[in-house]
Amino acid sequence: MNPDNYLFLSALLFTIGAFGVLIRRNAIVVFMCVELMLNAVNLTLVTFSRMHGDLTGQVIAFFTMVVAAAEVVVGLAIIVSVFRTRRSASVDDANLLKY
Amino acid sequence: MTGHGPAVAAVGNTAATGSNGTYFSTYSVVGILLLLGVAFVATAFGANRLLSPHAPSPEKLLTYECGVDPVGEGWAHTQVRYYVYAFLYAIFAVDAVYLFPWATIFAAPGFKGTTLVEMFVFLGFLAVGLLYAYKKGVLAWL
Amino acid sequence: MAISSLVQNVSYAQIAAPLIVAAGAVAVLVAEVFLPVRRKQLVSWLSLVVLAGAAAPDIALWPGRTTGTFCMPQSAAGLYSLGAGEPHGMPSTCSYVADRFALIFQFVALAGAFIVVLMSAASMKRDRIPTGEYHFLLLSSVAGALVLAAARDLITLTIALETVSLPAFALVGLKRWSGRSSEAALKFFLVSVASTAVMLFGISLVYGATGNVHFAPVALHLHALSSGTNGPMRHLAYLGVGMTLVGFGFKVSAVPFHFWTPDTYAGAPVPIAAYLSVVSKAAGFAGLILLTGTAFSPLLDKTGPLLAVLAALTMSLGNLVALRQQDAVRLLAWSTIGQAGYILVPLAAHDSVSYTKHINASVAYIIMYAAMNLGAFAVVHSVHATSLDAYRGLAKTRPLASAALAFFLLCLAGLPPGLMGLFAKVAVFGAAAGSHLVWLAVVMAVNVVIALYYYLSWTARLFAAPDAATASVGRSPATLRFAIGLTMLAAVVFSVWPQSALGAF
Repeated sequence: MNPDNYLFLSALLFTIGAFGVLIRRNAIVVFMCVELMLNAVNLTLVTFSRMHGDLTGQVIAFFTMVVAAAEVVVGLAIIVSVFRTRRSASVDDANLLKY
Repeated sequence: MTGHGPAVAAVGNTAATGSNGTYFSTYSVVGILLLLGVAFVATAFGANRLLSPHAPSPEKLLTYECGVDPVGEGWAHTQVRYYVYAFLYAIFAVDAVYLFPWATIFAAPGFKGTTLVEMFVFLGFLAVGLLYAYKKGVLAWL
Repeated sequence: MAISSLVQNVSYAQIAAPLIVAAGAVAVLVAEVFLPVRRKQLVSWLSLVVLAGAAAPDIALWPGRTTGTFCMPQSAAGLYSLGAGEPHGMPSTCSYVADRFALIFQFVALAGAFIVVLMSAASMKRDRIPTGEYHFLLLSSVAGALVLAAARDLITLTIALETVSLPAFALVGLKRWSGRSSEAALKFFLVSVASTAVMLFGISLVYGATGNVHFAPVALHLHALSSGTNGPMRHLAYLGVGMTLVGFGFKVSAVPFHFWTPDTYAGAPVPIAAYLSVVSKAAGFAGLILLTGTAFSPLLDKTGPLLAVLAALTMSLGNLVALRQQDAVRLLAWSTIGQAGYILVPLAAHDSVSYTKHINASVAYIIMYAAMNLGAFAVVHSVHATSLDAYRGLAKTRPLASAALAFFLLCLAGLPPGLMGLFAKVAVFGAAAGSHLVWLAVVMAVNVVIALYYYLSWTARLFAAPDAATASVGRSPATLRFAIGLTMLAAVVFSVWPQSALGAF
C-alpha cells in the first residue's frame, strides 16, 4: 500500500478546514471546518494504522470520533444559547467582551 | 493481545499486496461517468450563458415569488423543538461505535464474563444520562 | 493450548482518585434530580465530600513506589528492532502511572476544585446557576485533570485533556441569561476545538512516525529518528511534535494562543474563572511537562528554544497588557498569562540533564501559584465588583478580606511578606541560570519589576481613602470566608516552609 495519496488527501482536508476556521465568520461554519480538520486526523490515523499493521491508530480514530461528537453537542448548545440572547451566529457580532 | 499482533499484521500485508491494479481500475467507470456529468452540465450552462441576452434591471433581479413583490428577508425562523433530541441522538449513536470492537471479541476465548460486564457498566453510564434527560422533562413532546 | 485470560488486571488503588470523582459526578447528577427544591444546596456538600474523599487513596499511595496500570504486553510494542532489548529492560508501556509527579498534580486539582466549590456554594442562587449541572460538570472536569496527570500514552492524554475542556465550556456558559457568559463560552469553545484539532493532527503524525503511542517507546523512536538518516520521517515527527505542543500551549494560554483568556475569564462566573486559571491550567502544564520531559525528551534541543521564546513572549505580553487593565478579573486574567510565562521557564531547558534537575521549580511554582491565585479570586468574588476603583478604601469596611487580598497580591508580585511568591520566583531564576538561559532570566527580571506596578497599585488602592466608587459590601457567606481562610493558611504555610512545595518533586 502506498500511503502517500491518503496522506496528501488528509493534509488537503486539514488545510481546507484550518483555512475555513481562519476566514469564515459564521460560528456554525467555523465549527464545521473544525469537524473537517478532525476527519482529516481520522484519515491520517487509519492510514498510518494500515501502514504499521497495528490497530492502535484505528482505536485512536474511534476516540477522535467520539470527541468530535461530544464537541458538536456542547458547541451547538453554546451557539443556540448565544443566538437566543443575540439573534446572530456571526463571530463578528460577538463583541460584548471587547474593552 | 499477545497472540493478535502478528496475525493482524499478516492479514494487513496480504490485503495490501493483493491485486491493487484491478481493484482500482473498476473505479475508472465511475471516473468517466463523473467527467461526462461535469461536461454535460458545463456545456448546458455555458451554452445558455453564451446564447441568451443579458440586460439586468433592479426589477428583474428581485426574488421571484409568484408575481408578488417579496417582503422581508429570505431567512425564516422555525421553532426547532427537536434539537435536544438531535443532541441526545448524536451522543448515543456515536457512543455505539465502542460496541463494534467489543462485539468482535467478547465471545472469544480468554475474555469471558468480565468483558460482558464491562460493556454493561459502560451502557449503564449512558443510561444515567438518559434518566437525567427524562427526569428533566426533555423527552416530553411540547 | 489452554488460553489464559486476556482481560487486563486493573490496579484499582491507583485509579481510585479519578474513579471516585467520576462516580461522584454521576451521583451528584442523579441526586440533584431526585432532591426536593429546598434541599438542592446539599449537592454542594456532596461535591465537597467527594473531592475530599478522592484525596484519601492518593495519600495512601504517596509513600510507595508504583509501577502503573493498564499496561500493554511488552512484546506488542515492537521495540526489539531498536535494540532496546534485554540488557536495559523494556520501556514502560503502561497507560496510567500514579507516581509522585501525578500525585502532586492530583492534589493540586482536588484542592483547587475544593476551594472552587466552597467559593461558589453561596453564590449559586444569586447568579441563577443550575446547581446539579454545575457540580456535575465541575467534577467531570476534575476527573479529567486527575487522569491527565497520570496519563502515560498519547490517547489517554488526549481524552483526559478533552474531559477537562468539554465540561469547562459548558461551565463558562452556565449563566444562560447573560449574553456575556454565552459569548465567553463561544470564544473559549471555538479557539479550544480548533487547537484540539491541530493537536490531534500532531498526535496522528507522531504516531505515524513512531508507530507507538506510549511515551517511553515514542521517546526511543524519536531518539532513533533524530539521529538517523530517514529525512522525511524525521520531518514528519518534528511537525507532529510541534503541532501537539500547540494544543497544550493553548491550554496554558501561552502567548500566541492566549487571546481567549481575558474574555473568557471576564464572562464566566468568577469561581469558574478561578478554576480555569488554576486547575485547568495546572492540568495543561502537567501535560506539557509529561510530553516535553518524557515522550519528546530526545527533541529537547528543538523544543527547548521554542518554549524559551514562548515563555519570554508570554510573560512580557501578559504583564504589559495587565498594566492598563481597569477591571479586577481582567487584570487577574492577564496576570495569570504573565505567571504562565514564569512557569514555562524551567521547561525551556535545552538538554535532559538540566531539564530533570530544574523541573521541580515549575512544579513548585504551580503549587504556590494555585494557593495565591485561588485566594485572590476568592476575595474578588466576595467583593463582587468588577472595577478596580471599587477596591479603593476597602480596608476600612472589610479589613480582613483586604488584608488577605493584599497578601495574595504581594505573593503574586513576589515581595515580602509574600515570601511564597519570592521563593517560587527565585527557584525559577535558578532554573534559568542553571540551564544557561541567562537572557531569559534577564527578561524575567524585567517582567517581575513591571508586574510590581500593577500589583502594588491595586494593593495601594485597598488602603486609600474611600470615595464614591467604593463597593459597599456586607459580610461574606461563611463558606466563602472559609475558602479565603484555607487559601490564606496554605499561603502562610508555603511562605514560612517553602521546602514543602520546593521539595515535593
